[in-house]
Amino acid sequence: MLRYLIRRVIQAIPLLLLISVAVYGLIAISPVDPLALYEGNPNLTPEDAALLEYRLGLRQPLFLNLRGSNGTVNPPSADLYATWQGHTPPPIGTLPAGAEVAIINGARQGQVRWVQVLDLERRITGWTPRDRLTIHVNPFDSRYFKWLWAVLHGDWGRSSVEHRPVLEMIGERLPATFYLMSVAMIGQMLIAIPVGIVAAIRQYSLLDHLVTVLAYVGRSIPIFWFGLLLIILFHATLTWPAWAGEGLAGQPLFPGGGMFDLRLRRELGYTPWWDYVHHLILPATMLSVYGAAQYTRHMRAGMLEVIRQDYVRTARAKGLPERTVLYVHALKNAAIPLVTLLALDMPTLFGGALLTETIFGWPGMGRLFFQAAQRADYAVLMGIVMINAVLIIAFNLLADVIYALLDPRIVYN
Amino acid sequence: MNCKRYALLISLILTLVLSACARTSVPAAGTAPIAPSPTATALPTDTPQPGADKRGGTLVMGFYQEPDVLNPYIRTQTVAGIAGDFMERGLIMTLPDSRRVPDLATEVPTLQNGGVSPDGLTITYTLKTGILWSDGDPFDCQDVVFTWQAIMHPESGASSTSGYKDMESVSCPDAHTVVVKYKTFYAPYLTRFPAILPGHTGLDPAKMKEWPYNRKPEPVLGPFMLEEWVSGDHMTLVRNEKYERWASEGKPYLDSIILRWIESREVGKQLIQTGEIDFLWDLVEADIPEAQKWPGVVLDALPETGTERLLLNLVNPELDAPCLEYLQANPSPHWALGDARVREAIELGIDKQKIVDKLLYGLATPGTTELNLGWARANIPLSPYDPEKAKTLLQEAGWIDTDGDGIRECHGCATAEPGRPLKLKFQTTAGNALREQTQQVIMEMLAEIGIQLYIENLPSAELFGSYASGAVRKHGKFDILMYTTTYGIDPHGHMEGYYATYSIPCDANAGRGYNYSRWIDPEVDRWLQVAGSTPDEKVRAEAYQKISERIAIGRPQIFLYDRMDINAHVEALKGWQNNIWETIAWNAEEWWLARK
Amino acid sequence: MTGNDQTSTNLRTSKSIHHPHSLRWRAFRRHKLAMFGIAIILTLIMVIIWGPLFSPYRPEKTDLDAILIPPSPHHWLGTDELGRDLLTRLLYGGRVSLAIGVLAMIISVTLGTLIGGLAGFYGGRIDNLLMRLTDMMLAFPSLFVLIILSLAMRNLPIEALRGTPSVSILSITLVIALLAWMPVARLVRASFLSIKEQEFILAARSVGVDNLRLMFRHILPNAAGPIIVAATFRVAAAIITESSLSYLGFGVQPPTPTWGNMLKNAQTQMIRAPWTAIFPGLIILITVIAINLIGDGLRDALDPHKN
Repeated sequence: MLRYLIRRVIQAIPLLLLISVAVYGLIAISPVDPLALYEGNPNLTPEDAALLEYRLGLRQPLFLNLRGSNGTVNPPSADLYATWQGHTPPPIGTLPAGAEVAIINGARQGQVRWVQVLDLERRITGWTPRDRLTIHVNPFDSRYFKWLWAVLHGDWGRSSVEHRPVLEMIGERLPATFYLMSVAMIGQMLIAIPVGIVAAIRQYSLLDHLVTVLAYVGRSIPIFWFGLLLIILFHATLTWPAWAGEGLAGQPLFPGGGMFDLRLRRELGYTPWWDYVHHLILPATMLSVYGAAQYTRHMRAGMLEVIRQDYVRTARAKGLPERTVLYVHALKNAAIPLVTLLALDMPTLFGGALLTETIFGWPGMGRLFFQAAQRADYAVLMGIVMINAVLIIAFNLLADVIYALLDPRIVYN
Repeated sequence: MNCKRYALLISLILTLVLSACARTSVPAAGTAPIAPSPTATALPTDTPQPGADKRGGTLVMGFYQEPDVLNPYIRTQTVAGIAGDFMERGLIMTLPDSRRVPDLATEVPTLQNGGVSPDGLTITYTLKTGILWSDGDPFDCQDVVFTWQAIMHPESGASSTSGYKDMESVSCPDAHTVVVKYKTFYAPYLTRFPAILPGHTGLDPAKMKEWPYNRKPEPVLGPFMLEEWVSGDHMTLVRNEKYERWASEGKPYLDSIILRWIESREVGKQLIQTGEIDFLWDLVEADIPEAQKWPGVVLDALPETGTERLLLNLVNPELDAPCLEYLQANPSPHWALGDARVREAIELGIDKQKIVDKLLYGLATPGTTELNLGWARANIPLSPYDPEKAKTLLQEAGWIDTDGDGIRECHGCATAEPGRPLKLKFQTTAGNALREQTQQVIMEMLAEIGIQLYIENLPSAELFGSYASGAVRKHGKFDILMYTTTYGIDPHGHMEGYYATYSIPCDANAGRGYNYSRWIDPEVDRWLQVAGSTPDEKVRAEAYQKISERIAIGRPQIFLYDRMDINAHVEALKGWQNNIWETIAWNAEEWWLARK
Repeated sequence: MTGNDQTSTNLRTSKSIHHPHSLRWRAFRRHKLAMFGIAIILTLIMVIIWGPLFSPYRPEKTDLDAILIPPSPHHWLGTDELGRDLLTRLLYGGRVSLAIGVLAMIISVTLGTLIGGLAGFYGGRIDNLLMRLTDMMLAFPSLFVLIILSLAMRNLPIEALRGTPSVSILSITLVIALLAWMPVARLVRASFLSIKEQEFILAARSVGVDNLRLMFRHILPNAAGPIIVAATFRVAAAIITESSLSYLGFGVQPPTPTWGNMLKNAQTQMIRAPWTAIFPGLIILITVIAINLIGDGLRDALDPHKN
């Protein structure tokens, strides 16, 4: 068992590396824009722009740097041109032999390979044919490896929109997501387990059919449509009746979004617990009901399978009360696949339900992701994806372990 | 058997316990503990405080966008400008009727009062005395100098140095006099220094992009200061008791203002009806009929300088940011839009009035020109809706539909190869319902005259992206774009940026300039020169009129409709007045909540 | 919350006296609900294919004088925010949504079968490699990656299709398929792994049948059952995924209607004009229920000792 665990953990490492390569590849094919900050600044000379690009590592190769990171000018000298495209033939500068330059870009024009160099000392920049330089090549001086190094050191970059560290932004949103999702998970189990059990025990009864139908609808309904319907019904249509008193009558029954009422907090100085609950009810209900629709099926199927087993009949024959038979012996075994599924669903505690949070304006990770996607804020997007990927791998492993522990039939070698 | 049971129990319990713990002990979205509301301040109770009858209350405002940074010289978003405006003061400000008045200065510098030297290059501001920052330090000329240094520092990340880079020096003959000496005449000089940065806190201009000040401005000069900012949720501003008019007039009346970030206008429309917010920012014309029915809510719609327009690419879209010199040597007209007749046909084929009537409920005005408001507004007649003339023009230009599919192809046109169908790419910001609707309506209108448009919308960050990131707008890789831009009280920078020949972004000028259409008209340069070299507003207005006439003929842009700035607030909010030359927060110290 | 349809992979033994196909077909026919599902889907397909021919309206034709009309004799399901007939748009949108669903299913099932089959058949290193790949893809939170991919692949540079709706339809389909093949791969791998050990395979091998034929003509047909079931559920999943993506604004570009982007357009006026939001959602619900019913029926028929 321990050996299996260790082996899986070791296997997870190349998996994570592979994921990081894929994640970084996604960044690469998406347009990233760290220079937007300097957009309208007429004070930025082309040299300043080149220096900035060099510092930000914008034009460096993506995965392996075979182009070269820096070089020395070969005798007698190297002429610098404004572009490699030949619109502007006269050279704009010259670098003496032996000058150290950083290589910030590369291009190929027919047979000739050009590089854009930056002389940090003289602070001039320009394009020159590659053969004018002696180049030192370090394959690991690439954007991917630099990023990987930074990530491993806890620097996950800054949001291109808010200019704050990504981890800080994620950290701010995490509690809200965890709060909503954990309540939803509990709610979903509180519904799914008893309903599934009862449906299994009274198979083919009216209740069973009702449950099956509802579970079906739950499986098939687009979750965001369900949310919209809930909002239309409980927020826009239903209101507090007249007997609820002055402040409440005529107000919508439930708030249409957010985690708490700002004005209330302002007036009281804190948010009372019932305000949190009031705002929690609709989104948590939606998630619980939706999740329960999935889990009920499994609970029911699991119970059905277990009830027919020999050991259950044995337990009955031994004269144990029916309740013990069902809720102790049968449930324990029927719950095994459920526990596994639950472990597999754990990552959503952190990832959040993107659609739910967006509809209900819940300030969590899912909504952060959606806003970042709208603003094309790739640093944040990648941070969230990486975290989720790591969690999914971790919980997959946990699920396998739990399954192995619980089910005596499983043997790992 | 036993340890398996144990394991099951433990894992189930762990799960439940973890979740339960999370539920009860969660902090409210990661905020610091909140201090109790500062309504009870120690004020002398003998003499009635000025403004006491209006004092108190919290205003909740709903915005569907959240600022990224608040630093006045880095931020570019409108919401960031609004949030900042609550906390900032500048040298000169503009009233809603477009008159300039002094804010931190004692008077507006003019030739008459000697504030402006006869050659227009030296501007002298006399600062008010006795003004304090919110941390108690006095405001003086050094703060203005610091502001200039911060903007001009090459690594500060200031988003624009226009005007500031023309200043030779900013000096302090004494603590309350600022002398700004320009190298060359800068026509919009009154618009400089709209906000002052604190110079006495030791902030390093080189690191301006990373200042904590950008997310928590302190100290401030304005009526409010930032208490907390919960990203994704809200921002709380509280009264700045060191504000100039607090002791003397009891302003700002409001104790605090909460800027709440809401998911969308739709959510906002619900919230204002239920009273969860008191102010809803930036509605669209299409919301007005519905908003007028909300009980207890006042709707305010003010024409503003923004115009929704079609930006046409006049140059071959396969070229990557060609420079002015290149285009002058090798004219590379766009295969369809390079022909002025095609552009005219497009404008004639769009029924602007119908769009305004149906999509905007008749609550906007059809667009005619860039400068639709202000002292420099131009007078250009509305283009007619004439699809027949449009079709004739296209025929003449060599775009004829020979295969009967409803789309014209090039048969004898000047700029494309024979047989090429007239299919153009049409792009705007993704996720904007009104824009998508407008797009589809325009698509149909142009389909009637034989032009087919196809849509490829982009997130706004990509559409308005930087030159270095390869954004389509900056690099000229588009056919038709649609969006709104606005201009300020002084239109010079805007007109120069969009229409001058030297404002074409390319490698040689590091992508600066906004002449994305790549329209080359030397006449315009001439008139811009006139407009930018004298403080005489009459002469300047005439020059802008001439420029607008050239734009109407050359059609690098087609103006669809003039926008209105529409906001809604509860009746109880008094004292609020919109000001399109500043922001909605320009007079926040005057706002008060009427009690029932 | 998931609810993985493919958690249990049951294996069949071909111990039937009658021809296996007819036995399964009869079992399927007896499953009333599945028949109901088929009826719904067939009706839907008929209506979607031929309905538009009877409609006097075109899906993209705006009528600014007829904005947001509730269901009425002229417009049976009402009109949307640009005056377009909702019923017509639903039908045309159905073509697109179903096409995306089916196409995404074909791609993902093919890809999954290939990968899972190779992994299951060859075992060893190849199995390891392919399963690592599968695990990696599964480790990505799907909605997140879908959004990022659709942002990046929004406008495929295929010149021939430039400017037609097919570009964004194709890119959405590809994106959905790229993230949907993994459960199929796992399933197929498990099937191949077990079938591979069976006697008739060993017999065929001893006779000298080469690997390729072995995989395609001997193993695959026997693994077909679970694959068909999985494929059915994949269509439903693809339809829901497309609707989620379009709802968030990352789907097919306007003006092409899909059920998902009709829901997105409806959001701004769902309180004023609820029919614009109710009908597209309702039809998605009905379609997906029907497909799930068929899938369940198929599963019961093709995996007889499941219950």
